[in-house]
Amino acid sequence: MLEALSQSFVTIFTFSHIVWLVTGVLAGLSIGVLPGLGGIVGMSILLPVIYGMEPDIAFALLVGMVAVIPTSDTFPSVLMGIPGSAASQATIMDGYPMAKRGEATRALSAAFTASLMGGLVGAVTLSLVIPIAKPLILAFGSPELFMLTVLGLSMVGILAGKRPIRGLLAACLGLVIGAIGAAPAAAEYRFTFGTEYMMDGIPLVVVGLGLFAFPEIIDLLIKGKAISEKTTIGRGWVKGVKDALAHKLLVLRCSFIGVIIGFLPGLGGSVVDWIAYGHVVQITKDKPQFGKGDIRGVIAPESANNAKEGGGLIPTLLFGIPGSGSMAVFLGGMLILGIQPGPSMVTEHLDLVYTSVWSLALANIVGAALCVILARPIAQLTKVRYAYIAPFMILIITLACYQATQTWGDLIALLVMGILGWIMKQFGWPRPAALIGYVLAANLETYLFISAQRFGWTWLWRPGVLVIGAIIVISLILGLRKTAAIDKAAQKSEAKQ
Amino acid sequence: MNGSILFSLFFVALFSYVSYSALGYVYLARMFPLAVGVFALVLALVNLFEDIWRLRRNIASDSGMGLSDLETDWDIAHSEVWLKAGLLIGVVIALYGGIWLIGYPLAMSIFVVLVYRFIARAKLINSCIAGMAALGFIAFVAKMLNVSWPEGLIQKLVNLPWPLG
Repeated sequence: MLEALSQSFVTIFTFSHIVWLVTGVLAGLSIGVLPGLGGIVGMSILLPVIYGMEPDIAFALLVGMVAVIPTSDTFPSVLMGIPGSAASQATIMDGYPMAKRGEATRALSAAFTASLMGGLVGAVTLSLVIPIAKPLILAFGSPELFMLTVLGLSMVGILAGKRPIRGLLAACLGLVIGAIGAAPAAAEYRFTFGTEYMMDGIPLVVVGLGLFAFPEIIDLLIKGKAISEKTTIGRGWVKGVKDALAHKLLVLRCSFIGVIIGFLPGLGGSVVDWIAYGHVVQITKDKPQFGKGDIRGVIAPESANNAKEGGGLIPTLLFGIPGSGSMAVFLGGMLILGIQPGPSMVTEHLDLVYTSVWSLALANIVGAALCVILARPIAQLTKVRYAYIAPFMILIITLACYQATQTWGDLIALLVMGILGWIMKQFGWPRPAALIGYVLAANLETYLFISAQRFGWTWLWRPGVLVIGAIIVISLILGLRKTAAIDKAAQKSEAKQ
Repeated sequence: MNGSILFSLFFVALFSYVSYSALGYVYLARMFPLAVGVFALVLALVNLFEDIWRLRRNIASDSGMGLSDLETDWDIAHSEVWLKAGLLIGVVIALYGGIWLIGYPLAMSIFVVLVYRFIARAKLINSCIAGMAALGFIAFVAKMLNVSWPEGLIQKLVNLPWPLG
């Protein structure tokens, strides 16, 4: 094993390997910057290129690309308040307020440093877990996955806002939107209004961009100013790096959260950032400014979403079970190269597995370095009057949404979701809660159905279920106490002013 | 506040519909939406009564988001915000109409020119350059990322050159 590890280390520093890795990184950075276009689009573009390639070179290209999308998708999240991809939605909560008060550079550089550290933790974990991955993955059955989904949903309790009923209602709205389309347990279509488009449900990219991007574009156009309320964007890139390093334990914890969520096939990585965000809210002891531009609210989700990619490679490589959409396309790439993913990877292609590990680490370093260099010039965008940027943002989000099913339904759903999101924002209804509900709806129903069918009521007494159940209860109690304290502190400070 | 009550009413109506519709599905398809719908309907009613109670007691709507979402802070009257938002949504609907008629690349390029000229108040030459840039971006993205866009009525009738056709 050590021999394979060292041999693959030498391999990744060959000229051709580095060239293709950097090509993948540049492609990933470019795609990540465009809101709505994530790993699936990127992987699909690269698949035709890898025909006839040597597997280790092709792996460098594919891993290089997928590793850095969660790094560069921070640009639109922080600078525009528009999620770059599903995994960077929570970054908006504090990154965007920082950009508004002229600290875009600091937020970006902290995010990239956290992303780098998270990516490296993901790569190290991937290399360490390979020998023991099988029993770990098999320990998670449908009941445990259901409980993990409930854990994700419990974050709504923390992100419910000043009126918790509205938070819960927003989450229920998300669950209902997620239930649109074919029922997982029966041959029945729900809430489709007889339209063909809704039979497959409303795609995540449409819901995400509709709820977050569209309202932000409308609001900024109404204000008619630049995004940044200050004329400077701050000289904070060194400060951002220092911020991330100062919170290294937070980065480490959130990276492990990311690895675990990425590692579990079927859980979906779209909620990883919210879980990490909820975690930082729970554990912070001093006077936080979450929701108003607290740097820890940027560091936590960014470290988790990069670490998730390392975790996601484990089931993909070792079991042929993709943990996310982009990993499913990666799986297709492996088959194109004539490599059968599965347990035999450890015996027959261990060098390739470790090439992936090293490529992942190197891609994160190259990607983060490029993003840190680009942070300051790109952050200048926040000083431009938004009316100049808005039409291009509308162009990008409509084009991105249309790729979901390539029908008019995508554009109409974007408009409907956008109007709904804007009204929710105006009346103080939390949109993150709705998004979390939407993302988890399918898993919640499917895993509950399988658990009940397979185990009856006995699944409730499985050790894993009890442990995760206890974590949910503790997490909710801590989180609710913490949010109440934060709101109280905010009210006191408002009263003083 | 009245708008807030209307939006709360919308939630009551929505979850009533969800619960009622769910009753019509087969058992395995019914349980999840029915459970969510009924639970949410109760919450929506409580929320509606809370809104009405706040209105009657003249308690200001708690618009602060706390940890839950981005804050909205307006330095203009709310009525003006709604009017402007309505106009902007109208502009987007007009853009959709344009796409349906003349196709995505052409409609989007014209849209960029018009927004630059009449909303951003840019010079005509700069607006035209922005429109060309938009068309170039669409063509570049289409080639590089292999993405497609909605065709318009005109594309079905006239054979336009790529990327307009």
